[in-house]
Amino acid sequence: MSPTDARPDAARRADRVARLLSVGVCLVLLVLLARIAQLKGAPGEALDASINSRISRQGLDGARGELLDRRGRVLSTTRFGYRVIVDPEASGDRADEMIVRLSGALGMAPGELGARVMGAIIENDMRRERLEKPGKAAAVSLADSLRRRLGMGDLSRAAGESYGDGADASGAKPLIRYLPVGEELTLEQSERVRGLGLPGVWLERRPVREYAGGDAVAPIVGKVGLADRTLDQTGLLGAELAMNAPLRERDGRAAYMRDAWGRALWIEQGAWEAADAGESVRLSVDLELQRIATQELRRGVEAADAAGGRLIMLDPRTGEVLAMVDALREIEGAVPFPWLEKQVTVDGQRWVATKGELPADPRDRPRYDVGGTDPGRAVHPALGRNRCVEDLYEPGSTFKPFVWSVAMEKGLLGDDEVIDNKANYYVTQCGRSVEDVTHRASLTWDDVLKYSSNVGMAKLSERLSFEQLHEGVVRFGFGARTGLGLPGESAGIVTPEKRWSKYSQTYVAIGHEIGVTPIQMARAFSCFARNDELGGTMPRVALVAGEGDAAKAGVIERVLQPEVALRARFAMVGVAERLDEKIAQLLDDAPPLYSMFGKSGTAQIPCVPGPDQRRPRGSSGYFQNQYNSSFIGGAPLETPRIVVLCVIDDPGPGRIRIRQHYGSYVAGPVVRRVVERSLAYMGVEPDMTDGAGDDAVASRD
Amino acid sequence: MFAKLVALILGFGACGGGLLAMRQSRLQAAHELAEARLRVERHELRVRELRAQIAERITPERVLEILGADNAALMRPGWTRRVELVSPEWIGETHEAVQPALPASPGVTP
Repeated sequence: MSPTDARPDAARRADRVARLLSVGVCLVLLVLLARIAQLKGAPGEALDASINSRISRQGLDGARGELLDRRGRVLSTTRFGYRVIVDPEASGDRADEMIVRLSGALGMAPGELGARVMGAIIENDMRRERLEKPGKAAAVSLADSLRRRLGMGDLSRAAGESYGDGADASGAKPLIRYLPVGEELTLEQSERVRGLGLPGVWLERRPVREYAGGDAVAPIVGKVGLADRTLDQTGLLGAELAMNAPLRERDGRAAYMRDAWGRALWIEQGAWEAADAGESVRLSVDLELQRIATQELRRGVEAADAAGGRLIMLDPRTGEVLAMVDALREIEGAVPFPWLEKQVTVDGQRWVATKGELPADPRDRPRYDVGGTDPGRAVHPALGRNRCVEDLYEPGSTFKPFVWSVAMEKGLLGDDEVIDNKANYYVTQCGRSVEDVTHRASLTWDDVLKYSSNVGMAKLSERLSFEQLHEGVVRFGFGARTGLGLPGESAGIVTPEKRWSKYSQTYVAIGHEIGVTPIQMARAFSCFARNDELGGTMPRVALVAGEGDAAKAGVIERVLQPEVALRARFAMVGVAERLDEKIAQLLDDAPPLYSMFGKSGTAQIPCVPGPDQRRPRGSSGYFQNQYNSSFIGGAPLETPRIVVLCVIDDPGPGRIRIRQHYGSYVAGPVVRRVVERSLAYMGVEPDMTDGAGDDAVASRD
Repeated sequence: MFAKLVALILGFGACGGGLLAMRQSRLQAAHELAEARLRVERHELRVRELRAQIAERITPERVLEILGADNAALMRPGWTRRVELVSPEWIGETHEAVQPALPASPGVTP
């Protein structure tokens, strides 16, 4: 073979080798590609577990909607707080270091934190023993565990030794892996703790409801609690409960791939489901009006030495509740009423006086505690009873305008008629005599309202049939819930038609034998404070601020003809004028700037036993010399913007002694001051000023 | 042949490198996006906390406290402070005086 023949052979060989090599490389690359595809598309179990362990899944917390006041001020809002959770099992041998570093970050004493964490570790030791040897009797003591933890040698198990106090004798408890420590953290503190990177320490995020509106609006706003077995908030009381559906949030979720340092690498498509915050709800109350009402009510309660007071302010055009205050005051020396309590014995049941005896002579009776117990209020203002919607009272003379209007609408009251009242004494059809506090020898029907004449009202009630009066009372919404939406609302008490008697006819006409809530009264009174075609209609009361043409949306039904409602309104101007005279005479208030109409009322407080209680012998259906004094008014006269009702519960004996416990003395000034300050705040032009308004308001500041 | 082989391998290498670089930049972008989302989430939490704090500090009582007794008159009703700060004539005169001094913005017709 010549060299020329050998070269092509070598070249051919090289060519073949190269071809084989390139085919081989391509095959290897193809195999690699296939492997990559297989690893990506259908990884094996081991790889799948490894990939999944690098996916972080976290819940995205939606925040509950906010409750705002009518001007957008935040009343309650949700933020997120953090709590440190320690897993005693995960801290391993570095528990000491963890305790020292964590206590530094939390600002806790290391001893305090150490006691908690080490206590859990020791408890776990005991539980572990029990779990590992379930059949064996309690065999490891607290002392053993401590000895082991403190490096004092192995256990010396003594038969019959028991667990320490913290241990469960049954021994079946799981290990403690969730140990909350310290107070709730702020965001900054939580970042600090997270930055420590301590093993076995993690942060739990939980929603915290902040009540920025404060205690003044707490009974309206209510409270939230945690939904069953979750960290989600749910309304339990007040507006939080009433508006729970729109306020409720929807939590989201996210899953992302993380790198070796735990940083987010990427979020797969569809792995991020954003949380939805709940809707914010704008309540009808105004924080500033609430402040004014609270301030003036407390002032009035103090001045009257009363046991409490209630105040409601409504916008009569829309029925929106602008302010609602319920104040209780502790009375020194007030004693619990000596109810007879039921005691069940083997011989049967008997009634026992456990709180002393009722003095036979009414003059010897002390001032009884009529406020009732409200332990919830002591815990938090939102937990107390909201007496503006839950508790009843007898309205007394403030009820007269309703009955008066019913008779006026029926055409039973002559315009020129004059009622003779020279004797100031009238025996009603039920045989009881009535008299007037303010005696007038003759009265027109307008005067009957102005001077709150019981005689006039007794005569008026006799002109109405039972059905007419009962139907009139029910028509104003008494005896039925207003539908405000606050939990626990009472429907009030109206004598049923079947049991309506001549007594009912007389007493209801002067506001007795009927139980009403302040919210019912304010709503019914709004029919006198609405203008034009809405005059004589009642609004639907609302706790949520309305939008658009709320005035028309707020109509429930017509209860009076507009001209009758207007006539009653102007008849009540005289009451407000008399109130202003009293205020000018007795108090140091500035002259009023806003015209007003209204009605005062005073009624004894009913003595109603609770469950398993009876009234003692000698007591009547009412507390002697203990009253509910109230005043309800609307202002300004021409175009009323607010209706204000104030009830002062149990004015002190000092006021009764000087006969200044009546509604016009104790509740009237509160209403007048609230009207003056509230309308000024609302920017309503004064209608009783000749330009001196600026100075008058300035003097009030 | 050897050159072809080298070229082939280099070609594959370049393609692979390019693809890897693209993948890395995509990963980087995805990472930044994920981080941004989580950061936004954290900021939202912070905003909620601040909102709660602000709400507590601007209630009418707190505002009055801040104003103090001397400045409580600032809380007086609006109608008592409704004074004519400027007369319409003054506004008109000032408007005329100021107009030439204002440079005309392009696209804005006077």
